[in-house]
Order: sequence, then C-alpha cells, then structure tokens
Amino acid sequence: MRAALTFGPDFPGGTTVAERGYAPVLPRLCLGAALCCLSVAPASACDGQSGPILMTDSFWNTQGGWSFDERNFVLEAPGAIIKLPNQKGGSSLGVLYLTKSFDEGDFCVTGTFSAESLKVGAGFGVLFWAKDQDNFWVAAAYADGQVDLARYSNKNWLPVWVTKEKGLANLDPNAVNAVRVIARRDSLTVIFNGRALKTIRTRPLAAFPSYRFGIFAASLKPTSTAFTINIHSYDVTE
Amino acid sequence: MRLLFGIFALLFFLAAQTSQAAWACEGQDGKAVLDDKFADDAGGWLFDNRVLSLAAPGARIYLQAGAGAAIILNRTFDMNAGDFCVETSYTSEALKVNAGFGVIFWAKDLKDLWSAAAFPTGDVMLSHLNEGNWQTVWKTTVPSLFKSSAGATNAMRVIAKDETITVDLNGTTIKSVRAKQPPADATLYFGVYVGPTRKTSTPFSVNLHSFTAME
Repeated sequence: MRAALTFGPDFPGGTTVAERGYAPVLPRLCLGAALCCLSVAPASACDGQSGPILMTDSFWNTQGGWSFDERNFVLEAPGAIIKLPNQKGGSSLGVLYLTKSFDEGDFCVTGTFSAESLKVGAGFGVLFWAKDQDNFWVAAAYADGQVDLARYSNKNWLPVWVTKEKGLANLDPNAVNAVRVIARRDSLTVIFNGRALKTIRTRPLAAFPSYRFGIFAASLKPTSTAFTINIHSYDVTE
Repeated sequence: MRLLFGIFALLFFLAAQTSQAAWACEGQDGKAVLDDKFADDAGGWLFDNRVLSLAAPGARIYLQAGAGAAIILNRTFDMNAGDFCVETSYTSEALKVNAGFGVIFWAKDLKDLWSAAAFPTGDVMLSHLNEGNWQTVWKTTVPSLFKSSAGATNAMRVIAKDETITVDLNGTTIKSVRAKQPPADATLYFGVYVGPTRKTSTPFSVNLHSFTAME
C-alpha cells in the first residue's frame, strides 16, 4: 500500500506566473524533419486531446506555474525531475499546479521509467480534483504494468479501479509513457499510452469547486536510496 | 380455455414477481445520485473477484471461510445526507450461517461508519463502528419481514437526513432515531454490508441486485 502522500510545495498557494512556456512551439516547428520527430514524441504521447488548450508545459523553464523545489521537484529543461525520498514503506509525492485550477478537463502527463523503476515499483500520473491535502484523486501507471485510479480521502487511500497488464508500460529509458485522465462532471476516463482503459461514473460535481490538479509520483517498494522520476510534459485541454 | 387461463395465470405471476422486485425500494422519491443495477462495472464499486464480482445484471458478494464481515464502499458517489436502499437475495449457504445484509452510510473510512442490517432470523439492527469498535445503537426482532427463502429478494433502506436515521426493511419502517448529522462538507461514503452472526467454516455468497442512493 502507498505511503502517506507528502505535498510539496505548500498547498495550495502560488501567485501569477506565465502559464505557457516556449515548449509547445518547438515541436510544431520540427514537423517534417526525421530527427526532430524524435523530439516530437513526448508531445504526441498525449494524442487524442482535442479540446482547446487550458494549460500546457514541457518544462523548458520555471515559468510554467509550478513551484520548483530542490528537495522534491527540480527543473531539468526540457523536463523536470520528481525526487522521491527513500522510505521503508515506499513513498509518494504530489506536486500541484499553482496558478490555475480546473474541475473538468483532459489532463495528461508524460514521463519516463528509468532502469530501476521496476525494482522500486515506480509510478507516476495525474493528480486531480484536489480539495486539500487530505482529499484528492490520482490516476497513475506503474513500471510493472499496473494502472490504477484511487482516491485519497479523509487521509486514507481508497482504490477505485485497478488493472495490471504485462507490457503495458514502456520501460525503454528513452520511451515516453503518457497517463491521461478525462475528468467530466459525472465520469472519469483513464487512458494510458493512448489506450482508454476504463470509464467510471462518478457523483456529479457540485458547482465549480475549483479543484487543484498536478503530478503524482510514487515508489511502492522500500528503497535504500532516493529515487527520481523524469517528467516531460503536462497538458490540460477542455 | 384452460390453456388461456394458464397463460393469464403465468403472466400475472410474472408481473407480480417483476412488480415485487421493482418496488422493493418503494418510497424513495428524491433525486437519484446513484441507481445501480450492476449492469456493468462502472458504477464506482471495486470489483476484485475475491469479495465482489460482477454477475450482470447484478453482482455477488463473497465471504471466505472464517471471515467476519464484508464492508463494500462505493468509491465514486460519496454522499452525506441521503436515502439509501440495497436489494439482495440469498443462497442457501448464506441462510444457513444467518448472514446479515444492509446499508453502510456516513462512512468516513473502514473504521468509522454506520450500518443498518437485517438477518434471516428476523433481527434488525443499527450499529456504529466508531474508531474500529462496533456499538449497537438499537436492535429489534421482526421475524415475519425477512423473506428467508433462497432466491427471495429483500430490501434494506436507510434514510439518513434531517438529523434522523430511519431504517426500513421490505417497505416497513422498523425504527427512527435522532442523530447528529455530519457536517455538510464532510466526504462520506455509502455501501453494502454482509456479515454472518457466527463465523463459518465454508465460504458463501450473497446476490446483490441493486443499490440506490437518493438525495
């Protein structure tokens, strides 16, 4: 079972910073060139997002609306690194986007599983419908092929749906994996690497609670050393 | 003529059966937040084949040998004040071990919740699991209300709103008690309870037909 989630940075918070960096422009300029197509791959991993863009960041700079922190969330442009501390029962971390909130949306995060990911049960995903530190939802994919949807409610983890399929996660250290959640007023759809895995009905949202969203990362197994997960992009569309 | 009469009798019987099943949760008249007849597995329940499996239309709750009780919470339709109703039918094994069934409500987590349950012997009780300790709020016996034959549908309904908890079995109100309503902004869950009064050495299952939660 997951360890308690540590939020870093402070929850909620944030001031005004430019929401959109330079990242979305670069891949589009590269279209047509074989070499550049490789760099397009991270962006296209979230294929299928079709609505107007609400937020997009490929972590080219620190102006994307995240609060970077040496301990937990470090910019390594283009991309960011989530640092998970070593803990006996595994560890997890939520990083919140600070400058906007969306109740409904199509949220997608891309990242890479490193060679050690399987050993520590590493996973990452989308954190959404976050009311406060004790109440939020997570859709995450793990290196061993587990994909789940869970709620952290009243300080307890409540699994909502779980599947596990060998080969679902791409463990190539150069490959990009994409976790996507379509959160609508009365349903949730979890999509991993372009494949819609599950749609679940939910209680219709009350009128615009202004939920926060962000990135979730976890290592489910004990580690003797700190562990990092590379995040490439985060996109939210309507 | 006799054949015609037979057909009419059969149709009447089928209509009565359908009507009985449809009206087991009679009286619920609010706005439906969840009306799940388990036609699919997208209703917010965690299916794992060890405790709860889909048998559409319907589901099945399993208790392993020696198990105390199954508490199954819906994970996506949290609700505070509401009118909750569950319909189940029993296998002969479940009847043998006097398995109770009922509604879980006002559940903060698996250690802090309320339960209203009915048993084949006719016992009906309202309980509060408080920090992991069961407390019986009230208990009564109404032997004629529980349909204690294998396959018969029973409906347990709880109306938990307006500072009152009302428990209703198969359309008959058993008891109402005053209670402190949880704060409106609390995230609370509802679900299904199944538990035998004595531990069993053989596993058994209970059929789950519907769960309705109304505002």
